[in-house]
Amino acid sequence: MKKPFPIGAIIFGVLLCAWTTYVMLDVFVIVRPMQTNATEMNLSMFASITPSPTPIPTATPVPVHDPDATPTPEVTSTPTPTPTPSHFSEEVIATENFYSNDHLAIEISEYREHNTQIHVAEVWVTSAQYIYTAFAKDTFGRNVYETPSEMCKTKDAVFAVNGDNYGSREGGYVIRNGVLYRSNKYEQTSRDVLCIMADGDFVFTSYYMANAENLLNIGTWQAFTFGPVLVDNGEIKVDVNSEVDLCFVTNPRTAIGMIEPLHYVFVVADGRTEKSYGLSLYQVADFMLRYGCKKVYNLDGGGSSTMVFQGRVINFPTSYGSYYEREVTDIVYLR
Amino acid sequence: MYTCAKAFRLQWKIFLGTTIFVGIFSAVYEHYAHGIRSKPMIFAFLYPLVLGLIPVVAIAYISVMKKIAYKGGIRLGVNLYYAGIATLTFGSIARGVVEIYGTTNHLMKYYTIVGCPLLGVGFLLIIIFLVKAVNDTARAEETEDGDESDIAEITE
Repeated sequence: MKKPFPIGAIIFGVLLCAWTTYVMLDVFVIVRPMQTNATEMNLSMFASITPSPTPIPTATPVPVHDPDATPTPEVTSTPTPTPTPSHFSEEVIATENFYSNDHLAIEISEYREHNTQIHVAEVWVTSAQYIYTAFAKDTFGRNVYETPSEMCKTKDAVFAVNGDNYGSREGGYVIRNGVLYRSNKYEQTSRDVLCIMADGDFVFTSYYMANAENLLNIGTWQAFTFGPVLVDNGEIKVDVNSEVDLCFVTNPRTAIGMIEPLHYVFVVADGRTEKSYGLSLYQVADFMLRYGCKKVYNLDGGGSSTMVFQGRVINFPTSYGSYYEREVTDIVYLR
Repeated sequence: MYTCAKAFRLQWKIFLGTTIFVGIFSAVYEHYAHGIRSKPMIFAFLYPLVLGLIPVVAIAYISVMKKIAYKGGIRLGVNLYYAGIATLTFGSIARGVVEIYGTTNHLMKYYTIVGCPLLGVGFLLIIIFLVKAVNDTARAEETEDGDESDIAEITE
């Protein structure tokens, strides 16, 4: 008797491959918009906030990173926030590295540590309501993408970094501009949640501790689900060993830190190139702690890490081994 | 007769190749994953190794397999069992790809939902029909021995 022809195995193999192709398309390609024109802002939570004394920044000239220039020499001194703030400006002041208006001041600087170019934006706002977020194409959904610089144009933003890439996941709290878009939990339960409260404070929580509706009710203006928490109450919360499961090597990074309420630091570190290796989570935490941040949260990194200032991408996003501004699902922006 | 011995001796080589292929695929994928570690991706090769290669090698060289035809319930059970292994292996790799990308997908659970029952049902069918075939073979041999001794007695 001859060996039987494996027709059943062939049919099953084809079906399995077809199913896997569909799953991969669902993960990476198929666009699933859940809410278009998602631009609502719920400012009601700011009605009860008493304006705090205005923190006042100063414009200090800092070197600008030139893509063709030799990398900035390694910095050994501790990075420090601008020491003596002076004022927000009634009129718009915009230089290459500084921007201010009556409610916002942004100062851009650069550092080089661990063979990595680190772009820092120190930000002062008169109210947390000026920390905005936006969805790609103003659409809340899965696999809806747009480049940060395109989103900046649409939103007339002065400054932006990539967000938490909520749109590539099916779960995780999403509260944006005071509106709750997603309240289901992320399957990876270790994810920390960052809440930017209406009073400007950063609150870290997790699914074990709070549900999304409650977070909104207590005045959460923005909630991100990525993490992990890098620094909390002035203490580094990651170490070389604890980050192994997430990512133990150097990579491009985006992180947001709070020196004090209404005084923030956005950091984007370039990576995956010979000119700039990238940072580990611990190195980001250490840098931002030395910068003066009391609380630091890691946002989506890798090829997504992008910083846009006055319409220009000022870092060097890398994807697939080359400079390339990757499309993302959301940004944090200022205007 | 296409026997179980012939079938299993071919199949363990296929499982060996599959295990090596999946192992290399996972290693290459992890190499380009920028240091992100995914256990489903790293350990995907264990499905064809532990569920396929090892048990098939273990039974392929048992002498009775030369006397059992590879057909009917045994073949059906083996096909279902292998389909289960393939489903779980694909699922593990797919889960690894998705994890390394930093996301999840609700469709992933269907690999387990489909793969485990296939594996279980296939295993049961193999056990049932293989045991039955072994018993039948033994009984047939006993009968043959009995007939031969009857003939010998008559001849005497």
